[in-house]
Amino acid sequence: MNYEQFDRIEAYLQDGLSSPERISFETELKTNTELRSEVELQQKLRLGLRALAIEKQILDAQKRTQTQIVSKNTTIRRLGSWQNWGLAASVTIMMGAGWLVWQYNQTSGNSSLRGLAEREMTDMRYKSMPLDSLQGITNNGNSAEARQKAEWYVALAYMHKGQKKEAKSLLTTISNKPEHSYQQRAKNLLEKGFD
Amino acid sequence: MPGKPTSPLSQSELYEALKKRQGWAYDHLYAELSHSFRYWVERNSGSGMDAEDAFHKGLLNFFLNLETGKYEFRENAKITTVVFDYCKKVWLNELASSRLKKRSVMPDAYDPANDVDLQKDLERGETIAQVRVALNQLKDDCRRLIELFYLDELSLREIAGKLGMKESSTKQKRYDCTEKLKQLVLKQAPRN
Repeated sequence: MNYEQFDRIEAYLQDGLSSPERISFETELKTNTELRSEVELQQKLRLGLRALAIEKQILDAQKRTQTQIVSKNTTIRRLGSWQNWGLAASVTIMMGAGWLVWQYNQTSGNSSLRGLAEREMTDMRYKSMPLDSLQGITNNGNSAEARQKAEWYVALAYMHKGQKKEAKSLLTTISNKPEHSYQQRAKNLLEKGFD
Repeated sequence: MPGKPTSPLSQSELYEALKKRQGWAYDHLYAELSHSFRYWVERNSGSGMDAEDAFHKGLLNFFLNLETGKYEFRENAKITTVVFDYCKKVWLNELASSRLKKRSVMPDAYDPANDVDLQKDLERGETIAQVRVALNQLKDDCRRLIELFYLDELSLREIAGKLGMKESSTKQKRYDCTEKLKQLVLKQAPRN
């Protein structure tokens, strides 16, 4: 496909063609199977990219909302004026704010781990398997390939659930096995997602 | 970008703002619903993490349907109620899945497997995962350009400025990178 065709398909999908252009395009779509599959593929790409953009906006909204909660609590602390209660209230609120910040850090840390895991979970069959089934395959799988893949998905499932310690331990095991098909990917995840 | 109206927010104002992808409207939904949804999930066999996951998936389904016109706005239906319902269905579907079936009793007389709309929404997840993987396989310069254009929605001129390129070269590169992304998505298709 050349640039002109790409542009034309994009204009069609964005409703940017004039009425005669659209009619002509749709007539061509009925007979040209290559064009039809190209349109379907571009639709798929656009859907995926749009979803990723929305996910990013949702995570931004989450961060802003949590930051507001922390900042509201800090403001309450500043407004406290009763002499006798001031100190105790301040300590309590500071602890509350600290806890919220800690919670926020924990949550955002877990979200980022989950995001990393999601990116790696490309096989829907493995992704939807219960953890105990995956663990079963790591021991009893028919081939080394199946056992290694299951082991990799167990590590991803731990990350997805926020079980950082278990995920790190298993990824470290995988990354130390040169014969493991997921050695490099485990190393990459350890670098990206763990301190 | 216009900010949040100072007067009480009407449903149509919120709807229009969400359609225009305004950040404050996303924040509004997030702040209004995240705690109550978490509370509901925790009372229905889920953890805080489960709640966040289902909440984000429900929001994503709702926003995609809003943008594609599948969701039809009605002034008398509160948007927060509609979104809560989207998220609730995602969690009920999780509960009904084999992963969690033994852990819980379904709270409603509702079978997610028979909810065609929900299943269609969730099927999109596979496409999204493929595009996500493909995007991560792109070289850094291409990935950055694609993210700036499609995720951050910058114009080619703005991207050219950011990347120190000519606008015409940016246009060509956007085409080249999208083609590479397409090829990477195609490579994965048979695997899944």
